[in-house]
Amino acid sequence: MKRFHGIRGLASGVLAISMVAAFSTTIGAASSASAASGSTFVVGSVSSVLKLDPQTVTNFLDFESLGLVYETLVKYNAKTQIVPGLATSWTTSANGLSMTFTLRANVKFDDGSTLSPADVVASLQRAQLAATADPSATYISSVTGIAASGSNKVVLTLSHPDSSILQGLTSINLSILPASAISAGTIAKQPDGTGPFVFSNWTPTTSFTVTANPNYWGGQPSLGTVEIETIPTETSISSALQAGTIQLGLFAQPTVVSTIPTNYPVQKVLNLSYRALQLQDKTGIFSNVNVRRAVACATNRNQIMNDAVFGKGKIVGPIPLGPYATTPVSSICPTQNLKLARKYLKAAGKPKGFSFTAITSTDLDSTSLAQAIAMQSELATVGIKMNIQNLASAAYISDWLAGNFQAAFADNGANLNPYVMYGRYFGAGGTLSTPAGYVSTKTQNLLLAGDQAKTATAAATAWKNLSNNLTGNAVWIWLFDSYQFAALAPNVKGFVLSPVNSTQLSSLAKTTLS
Amino acid sequence: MTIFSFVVRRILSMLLTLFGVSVIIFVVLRLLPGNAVTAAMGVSVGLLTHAQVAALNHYYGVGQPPVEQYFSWLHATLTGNLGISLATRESVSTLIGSALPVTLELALFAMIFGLIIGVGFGMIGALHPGRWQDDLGQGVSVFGLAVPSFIIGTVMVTFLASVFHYFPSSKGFVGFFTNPWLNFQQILFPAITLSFGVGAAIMRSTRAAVLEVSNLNFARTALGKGVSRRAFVWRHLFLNALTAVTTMSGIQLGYLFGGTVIIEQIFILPGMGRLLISAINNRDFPVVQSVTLIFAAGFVIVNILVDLFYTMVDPRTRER
Amino acid sequence: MSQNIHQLIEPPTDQVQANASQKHVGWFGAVWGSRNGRIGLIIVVLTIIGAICGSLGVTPYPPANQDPNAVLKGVSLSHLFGTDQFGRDVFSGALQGLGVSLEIAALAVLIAGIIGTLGGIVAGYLGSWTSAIIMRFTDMMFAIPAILFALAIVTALGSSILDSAIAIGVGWIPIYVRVVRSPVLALRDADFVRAGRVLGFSRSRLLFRHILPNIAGVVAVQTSLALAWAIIAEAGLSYLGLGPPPPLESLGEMVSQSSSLAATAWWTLAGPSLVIIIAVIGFNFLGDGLRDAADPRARTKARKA
Repeated sequence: MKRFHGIRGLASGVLAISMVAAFSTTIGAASSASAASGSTFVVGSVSSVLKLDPQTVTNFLDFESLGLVYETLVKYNAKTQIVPGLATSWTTSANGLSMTFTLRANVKFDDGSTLSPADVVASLQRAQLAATADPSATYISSVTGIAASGSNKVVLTLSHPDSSILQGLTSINLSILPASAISAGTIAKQPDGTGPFVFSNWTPTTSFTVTANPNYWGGQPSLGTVEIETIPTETSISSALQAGTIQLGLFAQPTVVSTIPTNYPVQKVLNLSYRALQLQDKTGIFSNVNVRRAVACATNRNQIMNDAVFGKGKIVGPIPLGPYATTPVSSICPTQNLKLARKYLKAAGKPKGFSFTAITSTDLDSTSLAQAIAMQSELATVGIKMNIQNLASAAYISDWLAGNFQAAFADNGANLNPYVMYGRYFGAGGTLSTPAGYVSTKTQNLLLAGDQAKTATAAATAWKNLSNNLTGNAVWIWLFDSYQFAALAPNVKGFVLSPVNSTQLSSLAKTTLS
Repeated sequence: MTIFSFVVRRILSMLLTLFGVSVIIFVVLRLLPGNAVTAAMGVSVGLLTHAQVAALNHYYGVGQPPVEQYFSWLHATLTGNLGISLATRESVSTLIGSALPVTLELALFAMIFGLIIGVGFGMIGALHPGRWQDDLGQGVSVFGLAVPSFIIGTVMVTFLASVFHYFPSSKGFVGFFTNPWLNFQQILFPAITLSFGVGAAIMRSTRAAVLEVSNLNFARTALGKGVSRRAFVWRHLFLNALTAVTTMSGIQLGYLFGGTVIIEQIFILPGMGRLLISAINNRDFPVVQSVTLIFAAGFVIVNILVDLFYTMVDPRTRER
Repeated sequence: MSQNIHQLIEPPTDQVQANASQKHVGWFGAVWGSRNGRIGLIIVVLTIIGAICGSLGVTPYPPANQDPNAVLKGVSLSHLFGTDQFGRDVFSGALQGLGVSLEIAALAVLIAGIIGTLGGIVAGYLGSWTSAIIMRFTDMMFAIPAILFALAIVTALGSSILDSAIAIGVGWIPIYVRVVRSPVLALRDADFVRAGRVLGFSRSRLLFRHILPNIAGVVAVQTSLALAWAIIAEAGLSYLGLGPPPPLESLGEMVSQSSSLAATAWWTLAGPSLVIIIAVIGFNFLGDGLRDAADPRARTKARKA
């Protein structure tokens, strides 16, 4: 047998070569990793940028990425207050039917041209065109006229007084584009904005790269290049962060975030969305308010949140966050109250309980089934039997839109302005009144009162009344809001994950690497 | 039958298979509920006006009759641009042009490593049947077949990244001609990961083939004639086992294409597998269809090459 | 008289059974007789017991129970596989995951086995153009990576246990067709089947009494291997996030959830991985054993070697 050195030698040779290769690879990497930090900043996300036209995007990473390149007339600051963006000031006429925006001077688009009122007019008009299919066009549906006035003003004419216009205008979907690019039809191919970064490169499904804008009116960012890289799993994002190849990782899964070593600071913000059990109140069992209240009181939100997102969230009412956030989260049962639940059941004439079916879609919200199962066992303690039907996304969407359900676990987008958030569900003629399943003049009036409130105190009162109205009637069962997370490399300074969705990465303009 | 007519016949049959594959995939995709619009918007579709929905449907080609969709895709494919991606508006041939080389490189390296492991252990095992070398080889093959590649990949990535702070693939993929060294580092670990399963399968067939050959008469004759054992191993056993190994490699290459899908997710390689998964998520039918067709074509072509090789080594098979 | 002829041409059960009955050992004995078969059988039985316990909730702890006082505890007698970052017992989770995984795998193989075997019998027995069509279709299915079918079907149907099973099962159908077809082809021309045909036995009688018992061995081997493959495939789908939705957790789900803990708390990854690997080895070995039993010549050859 000793004569077989040939093969054995070959095998061990190959093994040795691969080991040497692996080892020297490691050395090489260590040195190149330190050289890679500089002013290139890499962001890792499981999502990928799908479109370059800011007025048509719907994917959250598209918002975040294009939000670095484009700007809006007004924007939110980190305290979720409206602050100047491309407009430095604005006034509303006494009758509330016209708004005048004064534009910032010396703002340059990436193509070198200067921002003019004509650009704003062309941009907002484009957003209103049906052919653009701008998902945020409804925010400015009350705008009937957009006109330039003088060299630096834009006037919006409104069909009725509408204080939610300002919140609407913060959307990246209503970004200001250069009029020349609109007429040339190059928006979807070549981003050209006024923001802190200049579009550099986009590789579909892989990466989106921007470079610092030397002409930015707010000052040139310190980071030379920001690359938003698609990393398909959150585990790999965590690995890339620890390997030093990315500086910022975006996470949604608490299971992954909880494993990141402590020397990588983790920031969290509440999602601008909320989980709720929507009830169809117009017909059937839930048309009885006491039946709905029984469900609300039998629900243990903490347990549901624990089972669904390992407690990484916050129990919320109808207005999940912002200055008007609902507290306490429910006017009848902020926490589980089985005694009260039984009382409501008795009042509804169903002392032994009842049964109903709730739909979920784990394709749309992977935690929805876990929420449903937790709630199922809670409701069972008072005799309410909840059947669960888990649907594929398309089936769920069509049933949801048609209001074809008794109860639906939903993950609904929120807005800092309660009117924007609920006008479409509970307002008169709201586009989503069918899935909302509840019509009440009282609620409609409360919404209008909030929208048209002249002072901050009046608005606060109005929105408090709306919250009480919605939870007191148990229109839906609002559950919780989960966190999303950003983990940073130890050498990142000055980054603050913004609580405002679609501009979470806005502080990259002020971020430095040490 | 000449080699030439054999090849022609196989190519014609390949075209038929590929046509069938494209129809199957098309039908399966039609079964997917939802479309590019609902995939992009979710329940927010309800926020759009009818005019906006109509504009979006037109943009994504939703509502076009399925047969028409199939033939417009087929036409685009035959003219070479493979259609336009619904989600990104890029031509599918551009997307595939950047993804295919990554997957091919990965599969190639995995194959090479798999051959080294498989043929190496297989021959050693077969030459020492029943001894510890054989047991070791058998043990490795048992685990190679039983450990899913994503477990190996995960362990490798997590361990390298958190202990050695090393994860070259996460730097953004670079082509071989841009930076060969970085490219090699990026491909090395995923290729090793994939090679275990391939290696295990090749090892089994190598071992079996060598054992069979060494039991045949000519092997005994050769040894009896006093041919040196080393020369015998190389000249006879190796060459005779080659046929078996080639067949197995062909089969494995087909499976490798499938294996790259998960491995590209873990190692962040922008290859065909990742393209496919994101396209399925976005209901980007032209991309899914074209990527699948290319996977299928790769599988079929490899099989033809294996058959061809087989035919040349052993002309008897041509008759079948 | 005719009865005698019948007895003469009754299918000579297949070689395996003939061989086995001579030695007065059944299938079980034949499998038990090979080393791999024995190991495989033991592992498979243990795996199935574990899966049943997991599915019925007979686990040391409730799998979803979060214990804040026992976070990331290592391997110990009270926690065989340690605990995860939420204080859940990994062993209990793995048993439950095994239940889910095995249920999906078994359903998938059932689907593939029935459709594929029928396809193979039809293709082999009827021959001519029916066979040509089935085999051509099989070629096409073969050319499409199984993972693509699985991805597309899971996206289309959803990811419940049955949906996952269909998604995974479809990929193994062509393999059953091919494996079953060739012995059927050979059996069709075997003397006892010919004789049966001459005697005017109905086609179904020929298929079920004469042919089916003789391909049972091949199908059994294939089923064992398919189960091993299906467990891996299911884990892969779950790993990609396409497995059954929470709170159900399959083994693949556990691996993907714990993978980022590999460096700091290896047991959270090792536990579920080990269960997958052992189960797969078990079914592979059982397949080897069944093959040895079905083809004694191969076994003796292997012994000699």
